[in-house]
Amino acid sequence: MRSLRAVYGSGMLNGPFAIVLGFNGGMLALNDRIKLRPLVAARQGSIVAVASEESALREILDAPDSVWMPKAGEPVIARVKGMDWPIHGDLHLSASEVSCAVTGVEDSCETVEVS
Amino acid sequence: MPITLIQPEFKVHIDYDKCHKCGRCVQQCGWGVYSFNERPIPDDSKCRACHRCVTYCPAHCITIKKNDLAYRSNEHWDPSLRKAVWRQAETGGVMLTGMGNDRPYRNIFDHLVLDACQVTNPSIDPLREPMELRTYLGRKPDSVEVESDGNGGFKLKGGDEVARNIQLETPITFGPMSYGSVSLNVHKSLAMAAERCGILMNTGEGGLHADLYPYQDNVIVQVASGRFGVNPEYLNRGAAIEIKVGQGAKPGIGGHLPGEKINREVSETRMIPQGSDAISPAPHHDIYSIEDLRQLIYSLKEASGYKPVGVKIAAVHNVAAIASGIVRAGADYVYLDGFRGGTGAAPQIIRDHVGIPIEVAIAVVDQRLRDEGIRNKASIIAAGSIRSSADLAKAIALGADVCAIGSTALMALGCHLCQGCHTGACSWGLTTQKPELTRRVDPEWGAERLTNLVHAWSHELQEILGALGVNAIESLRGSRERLRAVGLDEQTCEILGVKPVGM
Repeated sequence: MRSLRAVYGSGMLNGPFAIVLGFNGGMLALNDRIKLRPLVAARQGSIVAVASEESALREILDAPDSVWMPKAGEPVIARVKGMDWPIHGDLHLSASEVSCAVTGVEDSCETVEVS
Repeated sequence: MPITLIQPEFKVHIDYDKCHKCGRCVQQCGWGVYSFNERPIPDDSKCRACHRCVTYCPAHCITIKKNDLAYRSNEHWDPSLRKAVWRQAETGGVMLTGMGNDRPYRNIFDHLVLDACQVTNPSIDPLREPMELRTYLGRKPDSVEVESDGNGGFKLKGGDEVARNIQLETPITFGPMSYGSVSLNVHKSLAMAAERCGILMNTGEGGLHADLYPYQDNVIVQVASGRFGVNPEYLNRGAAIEIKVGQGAKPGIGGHLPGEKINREVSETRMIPQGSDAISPAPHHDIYSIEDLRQLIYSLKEASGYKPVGVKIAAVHNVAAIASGIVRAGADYVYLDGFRGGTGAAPQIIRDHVGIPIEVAIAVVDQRLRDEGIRNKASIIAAGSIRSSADLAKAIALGADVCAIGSTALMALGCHLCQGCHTGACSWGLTTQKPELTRRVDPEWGAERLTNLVHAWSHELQEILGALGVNAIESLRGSRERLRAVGLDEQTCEILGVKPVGM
């Protein structure tokens, strides 16, 4: 993390934002580091959804298994099981390296939830 | 014939009704202003307005005023110029002085203003939210490359270049001031404060006294043209090594520490005979090109197990191209010293007329390194009269990574900018080796005052960042969009990369 910060520090985003990013094989949602913008995530079976309000999630998911509010600056990463990361081929993020906890699911979806 | 045509600059007035006749002013003054005959009698001509006597007078009965002797008005002949002519006609010598350029050149920092957030991008309260000032000093790779560790995780590919970076808790370091030009107690104060603040002090060119070994992880060891005190042990003790090529107060000029200041301890630390003058040549006699510089950088790296090696230069006309060469030669940081930077002794004519302002040097060097795609290869330390946390923030917004404070640090220890450093008679016990004067600085007291100053500036810097709506110092670095110029001409704005106010 020290290396990432030292090398890419000047690329850091400041100010209020909530970003949803889709990539080949998954989706990533991220807020600014002090939560100036809202972000809520939910999972129902193999579906992961993110929105700025929980009511929006309840509108599309009738019985979510879990609904959580990610901490400021920590990403929600949803990946389609079996698909590689678009970068770094066979690389898998481990909990210890990125301080992310992985909640594995048996279905076609894998959610990486920030601890 | 008169002994001198130069009239005293100051008038020392003692209110004898209040005076205790205790003689403390006589004892405190390092310049020998006072004699005592039933009551203290001042000799105005020796006074430098350093306020040592004023501070210590128990009766508060001393006042120092400017000697408002009228000179026939002449905009072309400032009285200081007339005095200089008289002084040189008397002495035939080069006029020496201390501290930084005091001429009324336009100060660019004072014509720059910072931005703040309103409504759309909220400002941040540093007392409630994290606000990061941590800064990494040194060469950074172009990118971070990772590979699988074969265990489901990943590791850094090909070693961690960033591991050699020095972590500073706040983007401030103490500027180089050699042991010899300042006292050992000043060095101890700086070293202790650097350790407490998580920053660095800089030995200057006078070697590292054994008493500072416990603080060596917070010390930059300097290698200057005189190579005083340089040996493998010295190089290995420092957190980083700095090649001093030039100094903002005297670009192109070497150093001269008079023999009177070389007592036993200074002589041991500098590795020169006691009582001999310590003369630093103007150039390094083994550096006549960027290629030579590269050889010295890599010799020092080899000798020290690849510690970061920086190069300090004075800000001069062609500073951007020079800095680019220094980075390509392999330096981990470039230390830019502007023309207002201080000195322990310099020819006044050089101090006041050579070099360029640090604000411009930072902007052009940062831009040049970015244009050439090598900005990540080296950090920029900027110095040369950083007077407040506002100057610090503006310097960082112009492109510096870190600012160094020298004169400002001495002021925290009592310096009143009397410009008498070269005399070796500093009444505040800073730029002297006379034991009766140096003991006036207790390192513990000094370290506390320096620590307070660094913490105060850091808090203020956090407030500035918060107002700007950013929560890390990296987001301010080189962010010239957050600066505006008030009353600078178009060309200066263009060179600085700063828009005028209103745009």
